[in-house]
Amino acid sequence: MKKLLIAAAVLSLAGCSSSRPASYIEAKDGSGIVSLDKVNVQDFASAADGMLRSLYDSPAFAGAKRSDGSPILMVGRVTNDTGSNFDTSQLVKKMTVSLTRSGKVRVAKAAGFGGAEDQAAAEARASQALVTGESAKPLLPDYTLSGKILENRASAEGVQQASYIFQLSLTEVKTGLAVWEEEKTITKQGSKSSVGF
Amino acid sequence: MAMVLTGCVSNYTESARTFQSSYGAGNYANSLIEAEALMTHASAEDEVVLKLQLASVQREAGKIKESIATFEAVEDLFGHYDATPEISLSGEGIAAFSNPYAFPYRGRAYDRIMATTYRALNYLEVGDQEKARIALNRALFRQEDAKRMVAEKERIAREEMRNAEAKDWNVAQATRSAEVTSAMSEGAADFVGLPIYQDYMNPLSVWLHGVFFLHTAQGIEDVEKARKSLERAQALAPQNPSIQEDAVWAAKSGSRPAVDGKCIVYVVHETGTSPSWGEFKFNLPLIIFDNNAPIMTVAFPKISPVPNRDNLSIRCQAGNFNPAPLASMDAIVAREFNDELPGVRTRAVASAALKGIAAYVANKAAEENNRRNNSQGAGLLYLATIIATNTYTIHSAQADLRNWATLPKNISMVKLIVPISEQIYLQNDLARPPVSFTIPNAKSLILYCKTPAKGGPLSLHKIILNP
Repeated sequence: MKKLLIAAAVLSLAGCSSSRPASYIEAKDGSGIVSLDKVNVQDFASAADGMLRSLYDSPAFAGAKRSDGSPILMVGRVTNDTGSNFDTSQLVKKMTVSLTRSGKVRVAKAAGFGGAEDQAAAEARASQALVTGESAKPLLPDYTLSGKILENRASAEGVQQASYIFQLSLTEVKTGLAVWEEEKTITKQGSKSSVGF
Repeated sequence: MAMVLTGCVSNYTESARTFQSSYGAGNYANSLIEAEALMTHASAEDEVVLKLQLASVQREAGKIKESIATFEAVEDLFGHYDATPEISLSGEGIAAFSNPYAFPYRGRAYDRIMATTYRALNYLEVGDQEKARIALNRALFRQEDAKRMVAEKERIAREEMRNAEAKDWNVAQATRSAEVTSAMSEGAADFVGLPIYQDYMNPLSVWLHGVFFLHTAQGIEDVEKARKSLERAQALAPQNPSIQEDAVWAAKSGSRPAVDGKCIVYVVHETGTSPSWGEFKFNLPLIIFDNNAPIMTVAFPKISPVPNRDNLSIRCQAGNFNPAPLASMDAIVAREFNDELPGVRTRAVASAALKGIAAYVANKAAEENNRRNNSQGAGLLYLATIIATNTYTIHSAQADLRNWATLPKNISMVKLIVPISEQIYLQNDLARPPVSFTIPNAKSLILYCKTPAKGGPLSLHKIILNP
C-alpha cells in the first residue's frame, strides 16, 4: 500500500511536470505530433512536396499552348478513402499554390467540379456578363487534377502500421488521357504500451 | 491511487435503469431526457458508455445531427484511449483493487464497430456520402483492431495473474478452485448455438460497407471493394439470399445496379435488446483453514439474453416478405464477454484473495492481542475486527456492469425491387397498424427500421444510396 501511495504521488508529480508551453514547429522537420489514425499536417506537406517534384520533372505541361496565357487547370474530385476525416484541400491547395506561382498553369476558380470553388467570382462573372450584355465565355480547362487518398493498416506483435497512399492524376481534357500520374505513400508505425500500477 | 482503486460502490446500474426501461418501451422522448440527465452527472470514467447510449437515443428520437455530434465526440474519446497506455495492475494494485468503475470505460471492440456503423448510417441519412465513406472505412479498420484489442487484454490478464501469484501463491489456488471455474461458465449455456463470426467481424458493418460502395461506386475500384465486403458478409450471414445476389452482381457487372422505373430497397430491421448485464456473487473457498479466515466474496459480471424481440413483415404488390438474419448482437456481445472474462477473473479473484489474506492477518493480530490481554476491551476489539474485515471483503466486491445497453439483439435484412411511387407496408408483431412508405424517385435506398421490443413502436430511417 505504501508503494502504491508513493507511485500515486510520483504519478501526480509527473503529471504536473509534463505540461510544456506552446511553441512553433516546422511541419516538415519531423518535430510535429505523429498520429497513427490520422493524416498529420506534415504528411500532407511531405506528400505535396513529392508530388510537385514529380510534376515539375515531368513533361506534362510541355505540349500545352494557349493564346491567352498559360494553360487552365480545373481541380476535380480528390476522394478521401481513408478511415479518418480530413479536408483533401490540404493536399491539393499546396499543389495549386505552387503551380500558379510558378506560372505553369492558371487555376479555374469560377467553375469547378460540383460547383465553383470561388462562388463570389462565379457570381461576379455572371453579373458582369449581364451588364455588358455579352454571355460569359465558358471556362474550359486544359487539364483536370483528381485523385484519391487511401489507407492501409497492418499490425504484428504489438506494432501497428498505418500507410496513407496519395494518388493524383493530371488529365488532358482535349484527349482525355492522363499526362501525369503519381503515387506517394507515407507509412507510420507505433506500439501501445501498458502502464503498471 | 489507492483511494481511486478502492473507491465507493458505483451507482451506475441504478442510474441507468430508468433510462433503459423507457428506451426498451420505445419511449424515445423520455429516454432522451433521461440520457441527457445521466450525461450531466457523468464521471469522466463513464463518459464513453453514457455518450454511446445518448447518441443511440438521439438517433431514434429523430435528432440525427445531435446524434452525429455525440458519436463524433465518442470517436474522439476512442482516439484518446487508443493513444493512452492500458493499465496493468501489480500485486499491490490488485490487492487494493475493488472498484472496477474507477477505471475508465474505454469501449469494447464491438462498441467501436457499432458506433462507427451508426455514425455512417447517420451521415447517409443527412446525405453526407463523403463522411459515410470515411466512417465505413473506419468500421472495417475497427474490426481489424478487434483482434489486436483481444490479444492485448489476454496479455494483460496473464501479466496480472503472474503479479498476483508472485505476491502470494494462495492466489493461484483460489483462481483455479472449482467455485471460480463454475462461476466462469455461469450463464454460458444461454448463448449456445449462436453464430461465431470469424475474426470479430460484424456482419452489419461489413454488409453496409459493401452495399454502400456498390450503390455509390465512383469507379471499378469501389465496385471491387463492394464485392469483397459483400462476399465476406455472405459468408457471415449465409442464410440471407439478398447479400448473395448483390455479391454476384458486383463480381459480374462492375457497375452500380439500377432497375428502370424501380427502386432497389433494402429493408433492415433491428429489434430487441442486446444481453442484459448482472452481477454473480459467490464466496471463495477458504485458502487458510483457521477461524480467523474471513469470508472472501467475489463478484463476476454475468450476461443473459433478453428474449423480447419483434418480427417484421413487408407487404407490397409483389407479395409479402420477411427480412432474413443479418447479424446477431447477442453472438457478438457474448463472444467478447467471454474473451474478457479471464482478465476480469484475475482482478476479481486475486483482489478478493489478497484482501482476504490481509484481513486474516488483521484478525490474527486482534486474536493475539485478545489472548495476551484477556480483557473485555481486547475481546470486543477482536470481535469488531472480525466483523469489519468480513463486512469489507463481502461488500467491496462488485462487478463492472457498464455496457452499451441500447444495442439491439438481432438485425435482419431483405432486398426488394419496387416500382417508384408504390406504397409498401411494414408490419410488426402484436397487430399494430402497418406503417406505410411511398417509394421515392431514387435508384436505391435503405429503410432502416427499429422496434426495441415485441410490438414496440416502429421507427423508420430513410437513407438514399443512389438518387
